[in-house]
Amino acid sequence: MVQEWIGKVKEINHKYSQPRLHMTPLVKASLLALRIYLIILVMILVYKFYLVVR
Amino acid sequence: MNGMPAINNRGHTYARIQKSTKKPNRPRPSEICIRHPGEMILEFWASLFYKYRRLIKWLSLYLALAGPGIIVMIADNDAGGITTYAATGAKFGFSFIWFVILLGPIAYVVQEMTVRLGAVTKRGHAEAIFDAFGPFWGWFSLIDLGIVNFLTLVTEFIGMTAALNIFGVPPLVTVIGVSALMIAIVMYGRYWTWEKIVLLFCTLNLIYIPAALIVRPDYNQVMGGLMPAFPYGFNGEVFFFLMANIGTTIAPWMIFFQQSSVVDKGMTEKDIPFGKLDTAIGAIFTILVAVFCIILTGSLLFKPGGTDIESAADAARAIIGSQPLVGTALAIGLFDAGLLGAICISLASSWAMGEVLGWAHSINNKLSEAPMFYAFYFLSLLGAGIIVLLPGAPLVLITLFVQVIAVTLLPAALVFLIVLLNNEELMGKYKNTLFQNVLGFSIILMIIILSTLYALSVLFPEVFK
Repeated sequence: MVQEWIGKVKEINHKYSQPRLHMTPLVKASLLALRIYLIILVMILVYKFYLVVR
Repeated sequence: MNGMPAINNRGHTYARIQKSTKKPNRPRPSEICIRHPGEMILEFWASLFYKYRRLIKWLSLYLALAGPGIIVMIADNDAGGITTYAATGAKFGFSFIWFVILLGPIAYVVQEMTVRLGAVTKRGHAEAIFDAFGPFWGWFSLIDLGIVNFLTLVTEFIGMTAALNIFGVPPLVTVIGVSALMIAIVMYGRYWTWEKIVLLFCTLNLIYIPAALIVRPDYNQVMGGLMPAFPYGFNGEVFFFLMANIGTTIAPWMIFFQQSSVVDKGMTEKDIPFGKLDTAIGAIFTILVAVFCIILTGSLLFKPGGTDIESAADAARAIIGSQPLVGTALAIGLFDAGLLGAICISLASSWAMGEVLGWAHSINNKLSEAPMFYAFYFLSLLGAGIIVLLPGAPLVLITLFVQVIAVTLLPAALVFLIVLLNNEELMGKYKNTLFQNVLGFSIILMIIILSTLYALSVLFPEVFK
C-alpha cells in the first residue's frame, strides 16, 4: 500500500517535472520566503491558541 | 485607369475601399416613405417583443449557468462565518459593518479570477498549480489546502451540532444524520441535481435578513456603522476579529472550489460573463447576510463595553428567551450554514485530490466510476465528525482560530492565482488587467499587514493596549 502511494507520488512528480511557468531564482526565493513567513505566523497563532486553552 | 479597378501591391482593390467609404446619398423627397401611424405602433411592439424574447433567452441562459458563484459565496457564510458575524455584532455592535461591506468587492475580485481560470484552462486549481509551478509548489499548496479544509470542516460540524442541540438533538445523531444526507446529495449522480439542491440550501441562508428586520434595529445607529472608523482602537482583539471576518469572506477553499465547480459544470470562455454575474450576485448576497447577522446580534446582544458570546448557538439560545422566532431563525440559519459549508469544503478537497492524483473526480460520475473520489469525501466527513464528538474539545475557540489560520495562509494561494492569471500563453485575452493586478496585490498586502499586526499583538501584547 505504502509502496503504491510512493509510486503514485513519483509518477505525479515526473508528470509535472517541467512546469509551464519558468520562475527566476529570485521569484522562487520570494515565494519560499512568503510561505515560510506565513507558516511562522500560523505557528504564533497556534501558540496563542495554546495560551488561551491553557 | 479607365474604369478598371486600381490594384495595390497587396492585391486589394481600391474600388472596394472607395465603395465602403463612400458617403450614402440623402434620399430624394420623392423617395421618403410616409409611414402609417399604425405601422409605426406595430413596429414599436414588434421591437419590444423582440427585446423581451432576447431578455428571456439571456435569463434562461444565465439560470442554466448560474450556480458556482452563488454557491461559493453563500457557502462562504458557513458556520464559522455566522459565528464570527454573531460574535462581531455582540462585541462591537454595528461598528464594523463598513468593514464587512468592503469585503464584498474583495471577495468578488478574487473569485472572479477563478471563473476565468477555470473556464479558459478547463482545469481545477490544484492541477493548474502543479502544471504551472511544478510538483514542489503543487504539493505545498495541496497539503496547505488539505489541512485548512479539514479544520474548517470540523468547524462546520461544530456549528451544526450546536445548532441542533438547541432543539434537543444529540451531537451523535446530528453527525450521523448530516453525513448520511451529504452522502445522499452527492451520490445522486448528477452535477445538475447536486447544484439545485445546494442552491435550495443557499436560499435558507437568507433567513438572517427577515430575522434582523423583525428585531427592528435602530437604523440611525446602523447607518453610523457604515462610516469607516475604529472606535475600539487598534489592539489584538480588534485585529483578531478583523482577520476572522476576512477569513470568513475569502478563504483558500473557495478558490479551489469555484474553479473546480466551473470545470465540472463544463463552462467555457463564452460563459465567463455569466460566471462573473453569478459571482457578483453571490457576493451581494453573502455581504447582505453578513451585515444582517451583525445587525441582529448587535441589536439584541451588544452592550457598551461589548458582550462576549461563546458561539452563534449561544447567541441563539440567549435570544430565544426574549424573541423565540428570531432565536429559532438564528439556530436554523446556523445549521444550514454549517451544512452548506461542509458540502462545499469536502467537495473542494475531493476535487483537488482527484485532479492531482488522477482519480475520476466529477459529481457526474457514479460511485463505481469514481470510488476514490467518493471515498475521500466520506472519510473527510467521518474524520471531522469524530473530532466534534470528542468530549471536552474547545470547539468555539477552534472555530475562531481556524478562520484566522485560513486567512493567514491565504496570501500564498492568492499569489499563485494572480501569477497564473497573468500568463498570456495560458489565459490569452482573458489574462488580468493592470487594475485587476493592483487590486489583487493590494488584497494580499492588506492581509499580510493584518496578520503581522495580529502576530505582533500576540507576542507583544503591551504594545497594542
